[in-house]
Amino acid sequence: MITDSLDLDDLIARWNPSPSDLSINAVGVNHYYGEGETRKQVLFGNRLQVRRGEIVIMTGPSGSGKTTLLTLIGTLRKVQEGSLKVLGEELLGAAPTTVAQLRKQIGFIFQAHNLFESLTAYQNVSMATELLGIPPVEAKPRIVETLTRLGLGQRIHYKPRSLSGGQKQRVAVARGIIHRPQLILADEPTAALDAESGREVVTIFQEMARNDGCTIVIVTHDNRILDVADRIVSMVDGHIRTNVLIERNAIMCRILNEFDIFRSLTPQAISQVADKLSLRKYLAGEEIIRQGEMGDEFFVIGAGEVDIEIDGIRVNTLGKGAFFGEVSLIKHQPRNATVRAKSNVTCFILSKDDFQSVMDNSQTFEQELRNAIFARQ
Amino acid sequence: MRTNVALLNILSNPKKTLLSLAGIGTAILLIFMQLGFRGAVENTATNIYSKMDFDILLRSPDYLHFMDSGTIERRFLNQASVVAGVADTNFLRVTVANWRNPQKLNTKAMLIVGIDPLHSPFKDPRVDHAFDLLTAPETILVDTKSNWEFGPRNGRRFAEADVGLQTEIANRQVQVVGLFEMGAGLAANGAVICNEAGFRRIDPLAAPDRINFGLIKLAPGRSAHEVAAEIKELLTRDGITPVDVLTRRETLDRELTRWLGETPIGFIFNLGVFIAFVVGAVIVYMVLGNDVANRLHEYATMRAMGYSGMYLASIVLRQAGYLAGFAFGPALLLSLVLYSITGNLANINLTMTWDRIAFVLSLTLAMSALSGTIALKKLWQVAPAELF
Repeated sequence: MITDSLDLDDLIARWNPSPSDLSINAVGVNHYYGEGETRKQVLFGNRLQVRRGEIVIMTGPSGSGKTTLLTLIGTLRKVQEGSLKVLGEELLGAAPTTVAQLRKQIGFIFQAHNLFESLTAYQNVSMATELLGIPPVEAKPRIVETLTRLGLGQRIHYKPRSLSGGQKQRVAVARGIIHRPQLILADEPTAALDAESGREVVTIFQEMARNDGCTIVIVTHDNRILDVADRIVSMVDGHIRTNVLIERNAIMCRILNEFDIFRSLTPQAISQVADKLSLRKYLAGEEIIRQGEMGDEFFVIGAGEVDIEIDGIRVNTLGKGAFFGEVSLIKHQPRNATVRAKSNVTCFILSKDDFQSVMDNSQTFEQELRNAIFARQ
Repeated sequence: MRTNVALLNILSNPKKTLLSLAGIGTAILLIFMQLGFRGAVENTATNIYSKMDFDILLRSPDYLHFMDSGTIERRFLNQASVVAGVADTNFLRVTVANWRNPQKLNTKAMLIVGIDPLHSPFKDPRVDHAFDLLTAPETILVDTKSNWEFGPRNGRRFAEADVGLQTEIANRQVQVVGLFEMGAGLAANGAVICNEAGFRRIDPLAAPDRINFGLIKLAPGRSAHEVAAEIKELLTRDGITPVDVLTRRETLDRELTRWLGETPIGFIFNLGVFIAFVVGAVIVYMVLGNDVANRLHEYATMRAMGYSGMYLASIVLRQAGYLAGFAFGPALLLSLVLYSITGNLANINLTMTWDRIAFVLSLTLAMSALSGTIALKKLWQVAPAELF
């Protein structure tokens, strides 16, 4: 959903969540299977930050490591390297009691359903409420309502072997969400479902995300449900290849289209840049870059004005749409000027590597830059 | 109320569960039967002594068993009778002789007990009342618990119809004048009682001044141990006691020790109990191990949900408990039926005791706990990470 409000300050607040807002905070997570000679790295420096209430869809070919990452997040596997915080708890070296406590706040939905064969649909779901000590008087109507909503009203007291694949899947969904977990990890939760019940499941997910701030990570290849994603993470060979916050990306593209420097880019390239840009705010008088230092960022002014000073003398003032910092990156030289915020300034920032990759991939962008630099001199 | 996963697991596959229960029940039944037989041996081994009325027994140090008891001089009994606390003395002569089956005319070894009819050493009142029947040397009382092979008229056991029956013991004419009930135990299948003259007629070589058993009754309030010790002291000459002086308890204990401890009989039944226990444990283990293996992903799911390993273990152990519990009742009922059937067929005394029920129940629980614990090993293989 794209908002019309394009107040950049607002966007900064929304896109730079504080750590306490994060349900999942993975930094530099590596993972290996096997021992000694056969040890094989399956995750490489995974970095993933997911906010409370976000719906994340993870995609990627089988063997890409998405399942491994999911089991790490779900505390089902021990974290070997890096930092992985889930619901505020660090999982690296976490105590078993912490893990047990966390698991109760997570809802798992398995592709293979993994229902308890001896138990009815109702009892299967109640295993989740019993564990949390939710009293039966409270749990019962909730369970009945959820199963009914998922179209199992007539099947509440059936055992799994009397249920179809889709019905089992829906029981598994009910069991995964009934205790209102703060985090739901679902593996192909809609694979066995028809369009209608698949839609009902993701609608429930959306309600839980919006109303209860439940964070939901879905591994899926079902492109019918891609529209519910707030973020799409795609993994290849153990690397997070793309991590796109859909709304942010859309808004960013729209903003970038207003800037001459980006207008020449293809829509795909703009989207790539939008993905990599970060937004940062400077107060009036604050130094943004300093003459003589090595630069590693490229700046585009989103709002406000900056003064350019060389050897302490103001030589120019730049406003919205202007950019700076590129010379040092292209020529690998120290900054040739100091840039200071004249008013409160909001900048779009590309890191050196991202800047380089955009340059490499887009000749028009490079040309545009060179023209602009030429014009400036 | 929590969902009883263990019970539901047990009930979810009735056919398989019934089959397992049948297996476990059979093992429990076997234990009951072995213990029953063992108990029967105990009862039978001590039966003769328990039918006799005495507090202290004098017998030969050569005593092996009732049929091979050795003899002692009668004067030892007379000497013992002067010890303070001795209220009464009595004696028993015992031998084995061939009884001729009156129907088939073949012969079979019979226990012959010689008593003074005016002073019966038996508790059975019929022996007491038979003093005016056992007057002539050829008169005998026959044990109703004697085997059918001795030829009772009805083909099964001696009864009123056999009174008046004439046959031979040791080729001497005898006549049945009455009945008594004893059960001769493990060494002989039948018994008769006769008077002293009759005994000498059947066993002419028996020395008249020697007896097989001296029986002593105590005055009320006297300790058998103390009196026995006094008698022993009295009879001891030069550090040698020519007779064994035993209290009633000691007599019974020695009989048990002899039959259960010194013969393979006790070992055989104990081994039977052990094997049945192992078989039961193996069945429980196989049933549970199989079940756990089949449900490994379910247990893994519980782990993922946040259930503790202890909770998972409790499910498996309770399943073991249910299997044992459900199998125990029917096995107990069936064993009661079999006790009565085999008891009648084999003419042995198979009785159920509360002690035995409690013992077998605890064995059964131990069996299921043991197997359940071994089956838990599979549970630790649970890897919730494999679920996705």
